[in-house]
Amino acid sequence: MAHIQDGILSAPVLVGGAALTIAISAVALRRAREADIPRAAVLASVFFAGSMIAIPLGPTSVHPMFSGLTGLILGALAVPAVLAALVLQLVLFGFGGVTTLGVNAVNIALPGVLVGLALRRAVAASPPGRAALIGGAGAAVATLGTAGMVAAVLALSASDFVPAARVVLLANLPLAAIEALVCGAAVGYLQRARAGRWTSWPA
Amino acid sequence: MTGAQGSDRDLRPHLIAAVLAALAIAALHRLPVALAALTLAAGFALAARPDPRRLLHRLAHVEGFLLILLVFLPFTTPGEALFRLGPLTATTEGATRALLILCKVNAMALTLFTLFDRAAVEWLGRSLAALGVPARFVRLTELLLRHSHTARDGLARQSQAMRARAFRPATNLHTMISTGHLIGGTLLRAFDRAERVEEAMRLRGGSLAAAPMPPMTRPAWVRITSVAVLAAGFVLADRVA
Repeated sequence: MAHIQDGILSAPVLVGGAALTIAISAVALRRAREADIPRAAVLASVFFAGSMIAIPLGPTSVHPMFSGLTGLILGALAVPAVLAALVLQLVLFGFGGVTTLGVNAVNIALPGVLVGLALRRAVAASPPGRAALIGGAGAAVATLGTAGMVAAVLALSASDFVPAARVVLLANLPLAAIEALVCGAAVGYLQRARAGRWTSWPA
Repeated sequence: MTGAQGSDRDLRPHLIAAVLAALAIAALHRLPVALAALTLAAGFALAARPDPRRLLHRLAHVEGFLLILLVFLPFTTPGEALFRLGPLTATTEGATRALLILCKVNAMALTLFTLFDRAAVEWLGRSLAALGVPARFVRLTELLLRHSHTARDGLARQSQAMRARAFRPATNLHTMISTGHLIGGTLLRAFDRAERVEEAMRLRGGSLAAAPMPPMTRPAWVRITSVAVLAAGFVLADRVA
């Protein structure tokens, strides 16, 4: 849902997205310790593989994005990790876009990073049940944030995209509910198994 | 993919060509030129004698938001009436716009297919490093590729175990929570694996930089130049014609 292809968005939107992604990635990668890089890659690989799971939704199916959960676990490194995943998706499967790499990375990762920054302390300090609720709510917010950013870059690119952008926003509501349940359950599971020792990294 | 040999190992020409083609295709805004680009891209894709099922599968992948955009554009763009559908009026301008986007998206999908279908993806990291991409990002990409196989195998094994216990995914709470636990469990194992990977890398003496690559071959330069000329030609035709 969030992989915008080449040939749709306007040049200023593409340049803005690329600049934002490069800036956040550069800061996150520079601030990381050497050991954080392999860790981020190993954990991101689970999200990358997990995003290919098809969850039935009525007659169709959706793929989870895990952006809230990614933000909770990876922090700002989620941005370069998502960018790397998008590059691999392009080369391995031909999905996505080349000129839209920056816009797509920031659309998918940034809401999750912000949700992760805001919630990781509360999640780490809560018993599993409440952590699942907080994590689930955060995942829904992150998904709607991504939908809002996809709608925004469409609307900013051309005024006749505006009605479609509104529908994109609405179409993401069921996806947000699914993300809330799936990520909430995952947060509860992790909190039960490793209470408080999985979110704060990399602090 | 592993059967790739010779120049297909050096992915630099493919990456540069992909960027040039994407910039040119993204810049097109006239339907006849976009249609010509689509035809040429289809010609290149078919000339490589691809597996037709793989090619069709690639083209059949449509993002949800694109579908919404293509359905809405004819009806929401102001202009001359083309046809009516109940209370809605489709305009020629809107339909042209939708067709233009459809041509550009598919031209790029075909170009990516031609460039990367047989590329040796394990050389991606070295190729990116040789193009000047920062070392830490290259490392992240290489390790992500390497471990995504492990993660995919792990998830597939767990899903199989769930199916063996009569789990059938459906639109219900049980499916969502089971999927969440599946991801949670896989992440837990990944935390431990990350620990081991990091220790192993420390033992080998810290960071491993990507191995350098030889300069690009003449045929590679010829290919890049021809893609650049084609890309420039299309953009020029789009602006002048």
